[in-house]
Amino acid sequence: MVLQFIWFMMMAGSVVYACVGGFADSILPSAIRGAANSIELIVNLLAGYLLFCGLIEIVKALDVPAKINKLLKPLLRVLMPSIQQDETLQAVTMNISANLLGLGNAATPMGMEAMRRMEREHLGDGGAQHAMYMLLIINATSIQLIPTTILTLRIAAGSADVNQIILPSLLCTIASTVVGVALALICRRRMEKRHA
Amino acid sequence: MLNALIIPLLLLWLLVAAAWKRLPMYDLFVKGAKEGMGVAIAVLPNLAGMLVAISLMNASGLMAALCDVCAPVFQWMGLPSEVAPLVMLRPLSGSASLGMVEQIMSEYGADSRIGLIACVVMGSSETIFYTICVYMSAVKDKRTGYAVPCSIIGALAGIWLAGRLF
Repeated sequence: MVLQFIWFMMMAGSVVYACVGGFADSILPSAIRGAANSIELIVNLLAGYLLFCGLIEIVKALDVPAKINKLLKPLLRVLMPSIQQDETLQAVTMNISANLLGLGNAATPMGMEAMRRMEREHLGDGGAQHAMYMLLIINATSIQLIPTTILTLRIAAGSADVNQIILPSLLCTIASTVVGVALALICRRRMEKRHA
Repeated sequence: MLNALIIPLLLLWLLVAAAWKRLPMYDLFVKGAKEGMGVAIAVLPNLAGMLVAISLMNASGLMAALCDVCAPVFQWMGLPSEVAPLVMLRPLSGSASLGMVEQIMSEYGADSRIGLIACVVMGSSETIFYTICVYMSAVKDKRTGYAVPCSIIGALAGIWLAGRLF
């Protein structure tokens, strides 16, 4: 729904702006050029998807996600203390480890399963809310360790030093998640105090 | 230096560990790559829709006008105003923001300050609204409480840091 509105604003705004500015005849050529750009972009992205999806399949076969899950569990017990069932915590850890490895396609169904289980565990008593918000925030602030898609784009753009964004990206993604989680903990404490 | 070693070391570890465990690593790679092909095909129509809109914004001058309007806020955050459209589109659409990054790199260069900041912003953030919508679709209680503001402030902290690092 939001996307419909944004797309409308981008398209209609541009058409009006172009007509007012006297660029009306450039509308169709640049629209076609945009569509042509998407083909160029997908060819570059496809190369990255082929390589990294191929490699990540080996990572999965090495049981790396299961090992990350083991490391994550104690931390998540602290961040989401209202989760009682082990299966629910399992879904959360699987969601997060898939995200860390950049497995967006595997992470989403796992995260939805976690949300569903949290709601069922605390049907009606409201205890699920804080854990749900925490999961949403962790997912929405991104935790991918290596930004493979951006690396692919940088190679296609002819960068002389493709890798120089790896550590800065990691720092920024850690910062965003830490700030988001810290704020969530503060909000939770405040709401619990008000109820007590 | 460290940046340059991360990928080769990970790759080497991956290959040695797979060989140690006697995994059929080539077959696994081919299986994964097949999935990657599907991802690309699914993404193309979204990319087309968003890149048409971005291309129109550029040609009409709307993009430049938008950057100018946002310049004071971005200056205050220590960021170049050229990344303003990217920062605004990022929480809404992955395809649109990917297109923006590619466009910023082709215009200003992949290794320019603007290009590097765009890459780090893109690589360290998520489609906040889209992600939250998808996850909330799994549950009946649609309240998102403090999840959206905390996510946005967290993302802004990451973006601010990107401006400090380059």
